[in-house]
Amino acid sequence: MNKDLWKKADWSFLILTILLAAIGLGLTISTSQGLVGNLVVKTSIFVAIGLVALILIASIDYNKFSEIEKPLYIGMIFILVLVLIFGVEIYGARNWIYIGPFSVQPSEFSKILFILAFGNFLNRHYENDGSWKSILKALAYAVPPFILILMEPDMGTALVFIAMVFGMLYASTLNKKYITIILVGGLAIVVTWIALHLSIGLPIPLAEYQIQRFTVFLNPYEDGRNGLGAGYNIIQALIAIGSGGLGGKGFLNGTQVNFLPVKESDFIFSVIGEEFGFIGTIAVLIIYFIFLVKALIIAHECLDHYGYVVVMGFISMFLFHIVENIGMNLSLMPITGIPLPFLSAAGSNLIVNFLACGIILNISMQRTKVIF
Amino acid sequence: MAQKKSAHANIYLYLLLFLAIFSVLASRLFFLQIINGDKYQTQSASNSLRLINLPTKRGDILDANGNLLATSIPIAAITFDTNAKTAEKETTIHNLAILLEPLNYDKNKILEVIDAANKKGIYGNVDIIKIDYAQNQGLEIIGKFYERAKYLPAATVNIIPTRNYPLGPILGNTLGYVGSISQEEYKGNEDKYSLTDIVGKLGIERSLETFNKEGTTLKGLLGTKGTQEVEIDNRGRTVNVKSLDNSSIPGDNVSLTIDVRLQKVLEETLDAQINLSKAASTKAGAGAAIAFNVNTGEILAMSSKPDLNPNDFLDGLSDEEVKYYLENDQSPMLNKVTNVAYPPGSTFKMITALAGLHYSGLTVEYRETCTGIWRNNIKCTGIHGNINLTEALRVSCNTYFQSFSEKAGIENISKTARQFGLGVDTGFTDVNGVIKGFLPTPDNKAIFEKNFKEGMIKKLTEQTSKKIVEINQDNSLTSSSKKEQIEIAEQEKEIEIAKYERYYQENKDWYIHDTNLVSIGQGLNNYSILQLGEFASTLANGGTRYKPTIIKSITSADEKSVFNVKPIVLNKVEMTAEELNIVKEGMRQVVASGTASRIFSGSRVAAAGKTGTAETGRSGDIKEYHGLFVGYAPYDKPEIAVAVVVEYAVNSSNSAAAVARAVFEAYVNLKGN
Repeated sequence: MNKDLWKKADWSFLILTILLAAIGLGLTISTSQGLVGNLVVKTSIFVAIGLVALILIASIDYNKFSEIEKPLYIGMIFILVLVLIFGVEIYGARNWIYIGPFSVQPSEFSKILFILAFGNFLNRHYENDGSWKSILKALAYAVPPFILILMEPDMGTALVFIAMVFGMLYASTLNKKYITIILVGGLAIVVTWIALHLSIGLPIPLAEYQIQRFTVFLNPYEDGRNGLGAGYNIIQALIAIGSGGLGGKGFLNGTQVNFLPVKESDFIFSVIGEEFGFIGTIAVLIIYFIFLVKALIIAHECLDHYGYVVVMGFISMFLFHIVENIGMNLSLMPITGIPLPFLSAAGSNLIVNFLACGIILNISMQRTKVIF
Repeated sequence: MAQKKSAHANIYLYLLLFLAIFSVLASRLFFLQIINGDKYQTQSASNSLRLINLPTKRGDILDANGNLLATSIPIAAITFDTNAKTAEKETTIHNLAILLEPLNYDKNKILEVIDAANKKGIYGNVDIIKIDYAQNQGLEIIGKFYERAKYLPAATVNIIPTRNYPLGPILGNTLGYVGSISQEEYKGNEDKYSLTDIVGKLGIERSLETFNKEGTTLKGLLGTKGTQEVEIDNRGRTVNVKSLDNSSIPGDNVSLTIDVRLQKVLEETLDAQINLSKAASTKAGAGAAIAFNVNTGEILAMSSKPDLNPNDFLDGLSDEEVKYYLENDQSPMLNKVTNVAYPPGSTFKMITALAGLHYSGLTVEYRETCTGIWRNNIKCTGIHGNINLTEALRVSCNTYFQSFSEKAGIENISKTARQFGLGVDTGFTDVNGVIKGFLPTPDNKAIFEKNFKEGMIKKLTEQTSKKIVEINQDNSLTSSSKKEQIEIAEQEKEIEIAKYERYYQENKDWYIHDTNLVSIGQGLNNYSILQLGEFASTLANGGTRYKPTIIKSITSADEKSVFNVKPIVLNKVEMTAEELNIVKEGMRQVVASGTASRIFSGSRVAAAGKTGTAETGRSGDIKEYHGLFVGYAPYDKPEIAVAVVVEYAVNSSNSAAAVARAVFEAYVNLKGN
């Protein structure tokens, strides 16, 4: 069975995945200043683990996941509670659990568990009445993990959850008009609230630095410290990307990115911009675009609704990561610190991305009717 | 299982959405990288490049014969950041071991050093090794460090030019010391200094920090820093060194007129006399001495006690050293040659003599009969009978000079004193804070007494105000008793003020008694040992007053530029050679058979001089004296003049004279060699 299935897999999607991972691995050499050091080795290990995970999960019939919705959901809640109890606090957030030499970010893994479980939840209500009630029920389903992630706090992943939830809601059979009202209304409330906070000081239940990180991209030089405060990273990223010009400074020749903290993760796009220029950044955008379109086609060719919603969940996840991360590097989006899929050297995220692609791959294997 | 595909949304809507989002990102990239690429490239270039200052070597200070008194050892410290990332630390230790292999460092040794520092509670930046990079190997290793800096991400090099004073406390007080620049010193000198610089703080280190003289390119001890462009990373670490822009210019070397051999003799004997005095008086412990070349104004030796060891100040003072330097009644920080005024005592008598001889027509044969007391007021050191001027100098008769001073008059005495540099600017600029001393005249006596009175009244007023505040705050008192006590305090103040007012009225005018006191170097007379030395030197050379100097020459490090200090005549005294010789004969008698003869007996050097035993004039001192001596040698053809004070000397002026004898003899011995 497996062999037949693999023959039917969308190989171009797999190749795109591997291509992205290879670019990411190459970039770690750049961010290690040409040294084949710890980061390169570590990332190579993660890529290897990721590939094995991809093959393993791609060999599992995705429909099996729909049968274990409850264990998936409970497992997700379990790991998110676990990190709040045993997590290690870094920079004021409790995101990490140490397992041996590796640090694991449970909120990353919760994304996969959530998509698989939530996909089935939506599938269970496939032929629904299109009422407000069913939409609110669906939202209520997403609230517990969302709250737990906010408690860490991991703002970035919480935002990814919002993107995934709405992406999947739109893919579902629920009333699209109501979903749009909730989405637009919610966004309007948040934007108005922040605007009122900035103008008349309406209180926000967040620390001042968090608010500033959220709004400083609008004008990075006005961060209260002439661009040396919260706006510093944005300014340095802009200079790095801009100074790349058309063709970039060349591999390993970036200097500006050295001013950026966590350049290997949050600001990897600035490294690409500086070293490979406009040609490099557009190439990356094109690869991502094809990658997403490929996934979109897989979703559409999927015969059942569960597979369709799951792939759309993953597409939402990837798209949000890409837009938010690149947008942050380009000063179009607030700073949140979520990684760029496959290109950022971020272990947990890398493995989660491979797992997601594995599941998408399995769905692609079953796009034409397969006789069991 | 499979459901209807119709539930799938329109794929083209999604495609459109993706296209829209990616177009926004792409156009933003086009705007940043293509339209504004040049602008950001300029910003990027200036962002990672820093102009760093290359350290320069501070100039050396040498004695007249080229012996090192102050020098700089350039030390480079390689420090290790224990807070760096684990990966960085591993890489750094691995590469450091390779770099430091020639110095027998390996991984284990480096780890041991870090471990030892951690055990001492030092985290963050730990010094791995300090390298003297003036040595060939050191320079090579530091050079390699910079080349490989990016492979040593957790290490940095700090250049610490370390000052060193090979002779320790010898001449320490005059040499001064260096230390980290203060905010005040930095302000206004931003072009010259950075906030981490080491600057001269005291003495020659301070006064010759910079040197400005038209016609020379010399700039002083400091030197000029070089600049170099380096590329740095986000943590400020150097990752790449660009070509050298400006190499640094080492500071100039300064040669002093000091002869270290003579200096050592002077310090040793001065120490010995101070130690003897300390055994007798708890107030003793300080002293000062200076030796001049009488024909040039060059200072051959000078010392202020207790000692100041400049090396103590390099790493910051220890608790013990703080106590010694800053909480010590004998003030080792104070240069007692140049910055402290002493009553000259009988060493002033030559001035009185010369004033009478030159301006008042008195002769050596002016005679007075000493009965042991003058005007029933000022006691003499003995009963000297009927004596002439030479005899009076020999035995240091107070009565004789008081009589003489009344004939000479205070105006002539002060006019004479000024010509010998007493109470006027000494012209000495090689150290800071040189004082003028105080030469009392009718005019400045009135001013002095007025200032004294006003100062005391001000103090009293403040004290009383404070007292009244205290009374008002005392809650145990009733308001009527408060009022009463305040009235008492006010009355007490008025009584005290009246006292000072009466004292002022009594003392503001010049009396003959004041002239009498001045004539024997008491009263308000106060001069530095530098001035007394200048006075002795001027007397010895026949009346030419030279500008005192301790600088012989300043030479650039490459020896291409030299500035030699030439003798500068400040003034010539108005007295004739005959008049001077009368006084000098008296001074010869002092040493040969007078007040200093016991000390000088058996000396192979024929010297001349004058002893002084001066009431200290310090508050709380009753009948306590400093021992002084001024003199020169050889008496017939003078070359060297000295002035010495031993505070609270056990053998009064003999203590000071003993130092002078030793210096004279050492001088002659050295010359003979």
